[in-house]
Amino acid sequence: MQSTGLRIRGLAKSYGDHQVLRGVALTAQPGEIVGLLGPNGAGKTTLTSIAAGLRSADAGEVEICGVDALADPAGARAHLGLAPQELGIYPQLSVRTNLEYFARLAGMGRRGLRDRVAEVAAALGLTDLLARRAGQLSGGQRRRLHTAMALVHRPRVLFLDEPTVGADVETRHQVLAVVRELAAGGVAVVYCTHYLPEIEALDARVSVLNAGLIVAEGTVRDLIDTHTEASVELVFDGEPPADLPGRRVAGAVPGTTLVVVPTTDPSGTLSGLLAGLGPAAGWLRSVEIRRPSLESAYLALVGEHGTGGDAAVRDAAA
Amino acid sequence: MRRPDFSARRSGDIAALSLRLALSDVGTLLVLVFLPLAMMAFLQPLGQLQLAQQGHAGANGAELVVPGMAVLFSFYCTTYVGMGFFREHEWGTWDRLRASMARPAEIVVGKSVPTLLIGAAQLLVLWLAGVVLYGLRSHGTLLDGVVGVIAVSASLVLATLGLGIALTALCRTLEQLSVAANLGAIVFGGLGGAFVSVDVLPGWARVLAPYTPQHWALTGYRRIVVEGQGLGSIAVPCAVLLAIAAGGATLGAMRFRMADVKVGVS
Ligand SMILES: Nc1ncnc2c1ncn2[C@@H]1O[C@H](COP(=O)(O)OP(=O)(O)OP(=O)(O)O)[C@@H](O)[C@H]1O
Ligand SMILES: [Mg+2]
Repeated sequence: MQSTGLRIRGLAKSYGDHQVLRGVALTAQPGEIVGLLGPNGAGKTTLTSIAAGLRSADAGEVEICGVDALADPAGARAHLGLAPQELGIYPQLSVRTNLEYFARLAGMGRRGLRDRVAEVAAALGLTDLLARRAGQLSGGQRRRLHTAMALVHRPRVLFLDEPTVGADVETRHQVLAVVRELAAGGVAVVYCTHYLPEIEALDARVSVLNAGLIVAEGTVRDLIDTHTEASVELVFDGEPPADLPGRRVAGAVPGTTLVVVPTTDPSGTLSGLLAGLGPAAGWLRSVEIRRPSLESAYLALVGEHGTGGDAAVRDAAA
Repeated sequence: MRRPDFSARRSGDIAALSLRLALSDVGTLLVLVFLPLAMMAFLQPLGQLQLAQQGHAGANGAELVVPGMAVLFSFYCTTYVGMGFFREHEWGTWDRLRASMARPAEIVVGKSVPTLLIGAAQLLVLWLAGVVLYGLRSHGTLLDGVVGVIAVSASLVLATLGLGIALTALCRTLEQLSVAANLGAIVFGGLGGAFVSVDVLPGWARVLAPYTPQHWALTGYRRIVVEGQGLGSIAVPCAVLLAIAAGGATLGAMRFRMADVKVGVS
């Protein structure tokens, strides 16, 4: 029996007759980072809110550190940290008071508390800002405080709902470093974001939520291997040679043609193609190797036009 | 592992922080204390005339206007209760609180305590100012006067808190709450006799007066201060106020949902 980390099964939720979650399963083992991806309106915030006991579920199970979170939300909260998507800080109180308050609410004693606040502040670059009123922080600094408040009490399961919105490069790095460190310390992290490079940098296990269902799951590598492939792209002025393999698409510049040749060995394929071009090399305009990325895999999964949650639900209902 | 269902320490932490937040709102504090003090000065001559007409020749008017204004403005504490909740929504901290280990009861109690303290402090300041600034004297014994005023004040603060909890549960926005509190304070306060004593009000108002909480607080104060009656005379007024407190809290508890979305000013 697995009794730690997070386990969600068959989670369903409707707002009125708008079905947002339609039987979602998600697990995060201790020490694991799960990147929860999905277009706007896919239901990521709904899912984390239900898991944190803020909204009710229509059906399904949520287990946090072995506690049935839907039946005993108070019991589950002892293990839980949540940085909601919406900023939540007391603007007229200092950064330190904001942090200490939530540490105290989680039952931390006065002694451990100061050290822990200092530790979390250092990790998120807030040390010099501890005495400042939260309302006087910049947007990115507020976001860091907001994130710090979710982890100051050392939760075993942590939900971060878009923690890097509006963050600068340095903040982003700090947040990612903290998340990695927490995972290394055995915390199960669910990380919602729209910045796919973050998921790659975290080497997170990915769950893609679309139209109320998890449509793909696996490591970044798995998703890339399964849902996308590398290709070599050649652009010609006019018609490419007839014997050239690959898919032909009208080029971006009028009168040009793009040839897309999928391959598992881009450089090998490219040299082979170039060697076989002959005189056609004369009207070759450009050559590009497209490496498969999480982004291309993601787009293949949720649709190029970002079949948003709402649109996808409509499609599914039709 | 069995967890205690209510942590006094956590509720105390919430209360302490909520009090700090409430006290940082200086504007409302001014309304609660300085406005009634000013009104007492303006209305005192009127009070004196009224009391003289009623046969209290030695009265200076403070016996009427100090309790009148104290009760009138005490009702504004209902907004304080609501503000404690609504502003958490405005700051986005409500969901954080709910996701923390704090139980709903700890949150509600913690957020109610500041209103009790502020309400009690308000009445204390207003009565002391009445004695010091406006020459208020009880017409009974000093002991009865002090104990009686404290007993009625405590009941009044609890009633205000109960009504505040009910209003908070019923209102969706801070504006609704402040409209309700304003109407409640002025209309019910007037009906209850906060401006002029009930027996000079028109007939219909005299019929309605007993249905206002303010009437019972004023009756209690009047029996002690103006009529110099003993402590037994305030048993009924205090009981009615406490019943209002219990009724408001019960209604609030029934209607209040932690998951309700409240809209603060933004
Ligand atoms: N309280 C609510 N009442 C009604 N509908 C809601 C409510 N909250 C969310 N929704 C709807 O549910 C769907 C999922 O919303 P949710 O906030 O969970 O999406 P999300 O994946 O977090 O999106 P984003 O990436 O934009 O944050 C959306 O269509 C949204 O309009
Ligand atoms: Mg969201």
